[in-house]
Amino acid sequence: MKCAKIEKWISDDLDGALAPRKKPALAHHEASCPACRAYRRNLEKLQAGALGLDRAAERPEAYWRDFGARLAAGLRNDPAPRPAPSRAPFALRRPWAWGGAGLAAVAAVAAYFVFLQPKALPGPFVFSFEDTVASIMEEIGDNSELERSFNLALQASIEEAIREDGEATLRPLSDDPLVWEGLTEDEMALLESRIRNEKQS
Amino acid sequence: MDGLREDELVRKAQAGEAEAFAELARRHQQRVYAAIFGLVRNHADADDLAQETFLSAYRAIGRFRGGSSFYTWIYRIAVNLTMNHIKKRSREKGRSELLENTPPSAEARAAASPELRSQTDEISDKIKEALGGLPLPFRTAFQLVVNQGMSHGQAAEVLGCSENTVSWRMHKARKLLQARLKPFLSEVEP
Repeated sequence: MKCAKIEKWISDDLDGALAPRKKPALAHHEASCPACRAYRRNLEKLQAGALGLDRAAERPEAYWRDFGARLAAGLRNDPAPRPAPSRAPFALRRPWAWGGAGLAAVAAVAAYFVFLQPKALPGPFVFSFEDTVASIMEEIGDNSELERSFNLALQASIEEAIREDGEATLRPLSDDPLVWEGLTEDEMALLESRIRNEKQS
Repeated sequence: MDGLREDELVRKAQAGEAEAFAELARRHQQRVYAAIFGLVRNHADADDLAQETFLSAYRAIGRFRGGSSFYTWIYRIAVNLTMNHIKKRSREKGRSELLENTPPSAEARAAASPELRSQTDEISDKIKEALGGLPLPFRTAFQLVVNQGMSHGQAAEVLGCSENTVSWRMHKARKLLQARLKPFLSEVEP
């Protein structure tokens, strides 16, 4: 099994989120792969170090007394919480809209079967960038050639966006939390170098 | 108020009893503060944001319907406020400048005994620096799962995303941190 997939499993395992059925395969791979064993050791050290940061968040007892007193004063000066607005049950709010939606749905279904006559009913389509990347990664599996092509395509799309829209593209990209999810380390490094260059200039 | 269950306190707070809300805040203030501090690494900002979190929650508690636990709900408010704060600061100061200005953990270091200032402290400083450089969604997921001990499901509820998303964010965060800290991690004995 490929180490890239195992690294994701190790991450899930450290969070207690790895499916039990995957655990034997993970143990089997780690037993024979020094690189993955080292990766796990590094993550464990990382985790221990990150937990050490919590000490910096500790405050003395006097701070919490003062915090509570300031909050109590704030609550006194704040208007009392507004009760949630009482609303009619959802289905009763706009009966005309529901009636219209029902008719439209019936018409759409009728048109679908009369005109389109599909060979098979399509599955539900919910677009999620991350889930899409995850499913592509599943599909790629151990095929390194396919993985390389996919990474090159992603990188090319970033380069193309930068070429077309200039460096300003990086700003909206970095503001969009979802854009980071599917990027490879190479792409992250590319973005990082661009940001550094931008800073220096 | 001390002996009341959380759902009873929530009902009283929704009815306008500030005392009940103050008790809810008292029960959660340290963990909420720690979560915020983990993201901003600055006591003054963490203090302001924690106060703002509880005041915002008090104003909005009428709309809390118990679909999630109060603890998850208050975390969501804290994380949203903190993320907005960080984004605003980033826009004002520029990303790199914000990172350079991250104050050192001088208070914690001064308070710690020499024994405690061990290798773990050293690695913690390096990790703090590396964490500060992570994209915000990764940093937030890492903070909630590793430092707050949340499951992927709980973190997903707080962040308003899927468990799969949290899992990928954790993986990517670890890969980035490991890549940045690899030379140092290799030297440190567990």
